[in-house]
Amino acid sequence: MKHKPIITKRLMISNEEKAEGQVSVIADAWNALEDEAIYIGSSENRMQSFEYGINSELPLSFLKPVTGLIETFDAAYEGEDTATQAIESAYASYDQIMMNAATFQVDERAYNDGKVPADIAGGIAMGILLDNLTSGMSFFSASPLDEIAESAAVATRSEMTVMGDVADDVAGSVGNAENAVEGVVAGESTQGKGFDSFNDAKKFLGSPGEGNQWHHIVEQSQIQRSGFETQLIQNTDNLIAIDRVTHGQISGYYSSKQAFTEGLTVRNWLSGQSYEEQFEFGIQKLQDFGVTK
Amino acid sequence: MKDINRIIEEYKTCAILHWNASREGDYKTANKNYTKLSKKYRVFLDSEEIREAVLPQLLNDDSFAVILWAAAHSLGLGKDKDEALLKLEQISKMSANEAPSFEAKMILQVWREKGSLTF
Repeated sequence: MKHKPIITKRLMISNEEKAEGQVSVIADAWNALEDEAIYIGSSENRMQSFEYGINSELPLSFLKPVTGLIETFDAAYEGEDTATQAIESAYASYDQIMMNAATFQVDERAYNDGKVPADIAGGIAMGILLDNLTSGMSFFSASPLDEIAESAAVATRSEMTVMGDVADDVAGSVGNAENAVEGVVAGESTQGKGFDSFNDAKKFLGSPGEGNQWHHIVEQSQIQRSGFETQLIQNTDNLIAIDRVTHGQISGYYSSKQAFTEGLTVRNWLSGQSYEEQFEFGIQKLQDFGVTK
Repeated sequence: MKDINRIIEEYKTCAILHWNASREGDYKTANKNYTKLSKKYRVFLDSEEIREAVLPQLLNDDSFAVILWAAAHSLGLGKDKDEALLKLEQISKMSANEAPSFEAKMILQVWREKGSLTF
């Protein structure tokens, strides 16, 4: 099947909406995805997971530009004057926009009209998701992004994680118990084994334990932001199992601005600093949040 | 005087909300209050009269979150530096549960590395 792009979506975000945090909702959703959930077409690993979709010749728009979009959203969140235009321009550069079903919950009517990403609010089955992917029903949006952003506000990290797990199943890459390393819990680490993807690291490490998630001490986004090697970030020395709530709180902290961050978010302020500095920072925050002593 | 009291109360509220939100990972609330505190900083930059009336009181507030911000802003303005540094040193030695100790450490670190703070 040769798929024709359905729309070219334009993002219009007013200053008022920016002030209300609409943009940050989207940025946060993407940042959360970077941490733990699925990528569709934004990493080789996930492309393999969704080769079914790729084989259908569906355009996968976020292959590379996802990094640029995150930066653009961040720029908007930083309140740069040109942010609205920059986002519009970023979107206009694509023939089509593919949204990530794991990220955006959407209105059912719009979904039925084929205008918006697949709805996972009701726990959509993976088969349906793939059907929608291959039919082009999903991932192409003609609705205003602020509507999607509003929907994203109710998407929870747990839902994203569930989708990540489902994607793992689809890829036949359920965590391998034989490779699971016991003892990679708060404060302990293995001998620093590196991987080419988070998925590979998770397969090696196995389950983080009930109610827990794997947390990157130096965030995954720093692969792009700071130019760190993937194997340095997707490394057993950089991964720690922490409870889901604390994970969310720490991620939130990295999106906050502090008195020492010179007007930037913690995440942006850390960008460009050495791995060691960022690791030390991450360890200290784990201590602050009571994960380690 | 009425304005001074209002600024002090608003500043205290923002500083406390910022710290509480930061501890909860509620970055939206944290950043909203960060913006308000930055606006107050600009008021201090513009008005010596206001900063002279407000900052000394804030530096001696009961809340460590308020003291942290007042100390950071004092350093940024180059005002009462010794007292500000002393307060930050004290906060940095406290536990994270009772005070923004990590943030105090980081403010001191940035100040010592760069000799300035921006908001």
